[in-house]
Amino acid sequence: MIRKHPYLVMTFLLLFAVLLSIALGAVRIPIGTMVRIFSDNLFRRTDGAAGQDAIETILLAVRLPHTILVLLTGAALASSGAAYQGLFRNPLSDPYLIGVASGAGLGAVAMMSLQGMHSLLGYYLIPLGAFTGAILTVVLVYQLAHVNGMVPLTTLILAGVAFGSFASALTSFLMLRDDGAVYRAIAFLMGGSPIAGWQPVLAVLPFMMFGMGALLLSGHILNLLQFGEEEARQMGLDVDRAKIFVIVAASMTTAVAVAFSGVIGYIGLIVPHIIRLVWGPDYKRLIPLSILGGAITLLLSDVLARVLIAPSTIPVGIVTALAGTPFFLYILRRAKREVFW
Amino acid sequence: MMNKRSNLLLVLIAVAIGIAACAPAAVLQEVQEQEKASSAPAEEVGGTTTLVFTDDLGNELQFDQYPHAIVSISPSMTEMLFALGAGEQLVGRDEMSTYPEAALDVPNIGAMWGDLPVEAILAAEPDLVLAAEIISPETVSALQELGLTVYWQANPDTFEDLWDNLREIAALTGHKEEAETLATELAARVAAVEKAITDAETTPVVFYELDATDPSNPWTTGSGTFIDYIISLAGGVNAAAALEGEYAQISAEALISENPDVILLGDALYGISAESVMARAGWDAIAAVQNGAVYPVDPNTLSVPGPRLVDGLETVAALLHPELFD
Amino acid sequence: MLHIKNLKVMYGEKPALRDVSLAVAPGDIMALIGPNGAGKTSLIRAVSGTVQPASGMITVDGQKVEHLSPAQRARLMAVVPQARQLGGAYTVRQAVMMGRTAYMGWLGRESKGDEEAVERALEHACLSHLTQRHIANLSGGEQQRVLLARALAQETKVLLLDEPTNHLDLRHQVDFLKLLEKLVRENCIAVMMAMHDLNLVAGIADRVALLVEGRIMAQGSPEYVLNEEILLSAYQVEVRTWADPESGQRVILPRMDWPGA
Repeated sequence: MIRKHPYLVMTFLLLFAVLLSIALGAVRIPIGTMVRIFSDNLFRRTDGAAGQDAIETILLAVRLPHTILVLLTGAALASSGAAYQGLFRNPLSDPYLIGVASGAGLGAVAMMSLQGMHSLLGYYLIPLGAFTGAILTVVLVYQLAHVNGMVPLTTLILAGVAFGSFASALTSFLMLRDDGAVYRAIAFLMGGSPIAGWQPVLAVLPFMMFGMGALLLSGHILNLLQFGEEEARQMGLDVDRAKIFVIVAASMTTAVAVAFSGVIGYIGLIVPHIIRLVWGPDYKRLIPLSILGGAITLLLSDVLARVLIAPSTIPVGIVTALAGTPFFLYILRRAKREVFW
Repeated sequence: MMNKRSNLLLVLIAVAIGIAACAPAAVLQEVQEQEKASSAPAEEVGGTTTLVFTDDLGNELQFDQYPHAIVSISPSMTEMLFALGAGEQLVGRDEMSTYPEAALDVPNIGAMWGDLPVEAILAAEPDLVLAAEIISPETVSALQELGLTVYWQANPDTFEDLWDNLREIAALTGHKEEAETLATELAARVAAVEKAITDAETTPVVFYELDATDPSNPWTTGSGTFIDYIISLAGGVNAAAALEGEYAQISAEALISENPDVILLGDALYGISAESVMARAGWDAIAAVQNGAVYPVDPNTLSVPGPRLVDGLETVAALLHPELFD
Repeated sequence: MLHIKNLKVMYGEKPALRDVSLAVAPGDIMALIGPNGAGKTSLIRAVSGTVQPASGMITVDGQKVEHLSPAQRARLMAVVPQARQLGGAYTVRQAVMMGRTAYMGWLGRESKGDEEAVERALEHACLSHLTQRHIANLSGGEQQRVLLARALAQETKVLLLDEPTNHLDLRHQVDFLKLLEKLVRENCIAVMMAMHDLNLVAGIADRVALLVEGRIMAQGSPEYVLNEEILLSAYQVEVRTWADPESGQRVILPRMDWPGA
């Protein structure tokens, strides 16, 4: 039954996860209150001056945008993970394979050192730095790897790994040089950002829509590529352009996700595999279902992260790693018995 | 053609990174200059009793009455509030604020590293959030975006700065008298130490150990830090004076050649004992180890920028010059 | 009609094909034979567009193919590769549908026309009863037929096959080739097929081209090319050839007792 209705099941799970994410946190918000606040705000223009009470502020200014950001981030990571797995035909691929995470980390930490103590320019510099770092990394890695407009995938991976190590080393160096940055850098690299509110959501939204939209359109391309580049070309695919398309879409999506949410692992690796296990490898379905699946998984991990040691938060990257590893091992065991990727 | 472009790109990146690595020092200096100018005391404006304050980030805060629902997100703030008798005005404190004991009765709003516990802070409905320098300006902005009033105070560089900081917090919370009493008392204790030190015949070299997980490259505090300042006031000299900053790494070799007379263990709370230090390979060449002058200290009295810094000074002075203090 | 004129292909410094000229008429099966490394696969790859020739011309029905986009080219010629272990848990129908890429565009939108073409291809390849099976679970013979169906779905005038029967057992080899022959005659497709098994070539090919070290050593009817001197010179193996008295089909027998062997 589950197999027959993937979108229904996933949408239902997503709604559940969203509800959970909004309801739980350091402060419990009962459903009744939630409904009241939403209807107040949707159906009546409340005069902002009459001071929202704390619960309302928490719900509307903190928890709701946070939920949406987490949803988008999970979707972004899982879909680009799926895309990379299809592109490189390697089940161990994740969105950080060609160095995006290291580049983003370097960009973010570089901004943290630059700002020093008096950052009146606001907190956007860090995500901007992270995003720029990520994109620059992909561009550089691509330049290193490409030959005559063609991108041999193995070279791309090697270049990505090499540059990734270089970026990580530079990041560590920068962290050493400026102790103010160390705390913030570590928090960023573990997955998490200090920015709450609607701004990050608005900043992220266009990139996410664009990137994930492009990934949604890449299903057929990825299916073809599973048969090898030569056969894909013989069937009529402009392989070189298609590869670039997928790389750009996936990298941009990952870059903006990392910029605002730090480096969160396992979502991009595990979620596509789970979807494949249940619903098969057709990328025309795998990408959209990964979007839903990634959102659900990260939302649930984030709830755990916020609730387990409330009122403090465990960096969500730690939760995904702890939960992700046993899942990953389970998948490996299944994979040995079946051919499904 | 492609190669030229990627080369240019690489050069640009290298330049950007180079700037990033050198910038902090420049920015820091400029900022410190600005701070000295802007730590303004409270004023009473016009005929109304509106209280106006300007914090060290240049933010202007206004109150109709003294804030009575304060959330402190830095341990030093919590300590100062209680020392000034303003503990009753606290409705929330961060996880690391565990001194004095009375602070433990104030609701914990969470840890300030990683994701901000904004929900808990908001739920406490504070009229003022107090933050020390350890809180980044981004965090302050983030809190302000949510409608919170935040007062950010830079760390003191000297004890005089500390008295001023106390006065600022006192003015903010309506405890000016207590501040003066406290400042006078603390200043007297500092003066007593300084007076005793004038009779010192030696100036021992002191190594303050922050972390020695890697004993061949331990972490210490360099010059320009409060700990360095305390060591000087206490009649010693910092073994890591050539280094700079709150977290500086020194090689064991450099340390051995500095040959400190006293080692202070700021990591004693994390299981480092004098015995374990003296057992480290090569460290027996150090005078401090040979003379058994390896002492655990409570890092909270040396790095939390609050009134306990005076306790720290007294402890260190007594360890460096036991003959001058009972 | 597939025309290849003075084709030259270089792999770096090494010439893989030198001055190759061939023509294949619609409805004809041309077999490419020759020792390993002679250039059979290079020829197929050059025609299908996987490698760029250094010089020479390739036309299909008079149209030059060098500067066509992959999609345009795919409407003129299709390739049936060897069915090595097929990965991906795609169903037969999904796999065959991918052959319609040239008509569906890179989004992969299936139109009625595409569905019909796929149905036809599945029928022609006798796979109609297997459409929902996963390709990884099929036998070697069935997998090869899936690849044939996929190529047929492309509805091209030219079909290129690269040693399609190498790993199949005798039964499947014969089945596949008979199927291919029938389809080719019915639809007037020009077929160029690289093959190893000379006896099968004798049974199925209308024309044979023998490639040795990148050059065409001999080209013509099977009887002409598959003769003892030519084969000895090409393969350095002594063979005996004769026409089977019953069917007239050429038989090639390698001499195992030959002193030079």
